[in-house]
Amino acid sequence: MAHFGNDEAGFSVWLDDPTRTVRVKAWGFWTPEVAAEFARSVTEACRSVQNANLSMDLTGLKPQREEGQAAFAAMMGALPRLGLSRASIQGANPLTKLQLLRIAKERAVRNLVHFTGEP
Amino acid sequence: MTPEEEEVRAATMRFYAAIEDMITGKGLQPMRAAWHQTPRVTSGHPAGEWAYGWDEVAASWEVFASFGAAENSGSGVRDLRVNLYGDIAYTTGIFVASPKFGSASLSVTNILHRVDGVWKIIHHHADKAPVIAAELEKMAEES
Repeated sequence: MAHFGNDEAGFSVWLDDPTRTVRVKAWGFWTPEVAAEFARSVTEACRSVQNANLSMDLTGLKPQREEGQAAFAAMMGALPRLGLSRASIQGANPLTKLQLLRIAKERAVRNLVHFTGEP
Repeated sequence: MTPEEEEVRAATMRFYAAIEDMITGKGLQPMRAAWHQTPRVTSGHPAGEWAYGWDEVAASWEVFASFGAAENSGSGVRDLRVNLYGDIAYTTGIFVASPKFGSASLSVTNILHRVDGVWKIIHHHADKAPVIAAELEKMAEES
């Protein structure tokens, strides 16, 4: 498991081998340092598995400043090249979801990203 | 109403004018000007969770501003009451969302702090309003 940040703001990335699912949990209001690690960590994890699923639990993640938005934009922009079977986002609060919806549409990956309710 | 209470009322009205500017696509500068931009400000919106500190508060307003468009106009505040305690004051009122957001009526509270003679917002809270969140999501999907 890769873990960045602290209890107040950060994210973790790990691989759930049996289901070929890259799981991400993210929370809080990221510092630029945490944001800078996000896209690389998630995309590297996805590249390590063929036909991976990506599942992100964003419970507690707040709307992000520019660095955090750029991190999600970079990650979402990479999705078409990662050969994912599915990318899902759970638990995002309404404002965070709105921010991510906008980014997904700007990156033309809205069809790849599925929002669900509780993680 | 005393002159000081009038100042608090005017500062509060500038904040609601800033919301109208924001949702109609006129940008966030009036919103930024309405706040003391410190790590100790807080905001709770009709959608979302608490924002702590100016960086979080600003990021939350930016989400609303990203959906700004002229057709969203028509928000306002009524029944504004001012309560003054030295350099701290609070206001209560009813925020009425624009027709685009269902004209929802939300109870609101604002706390203002006078620094160097200038009243600005340090705390804002509005009732949760699922209808506003739903309309924003619809706008996001349709944009």
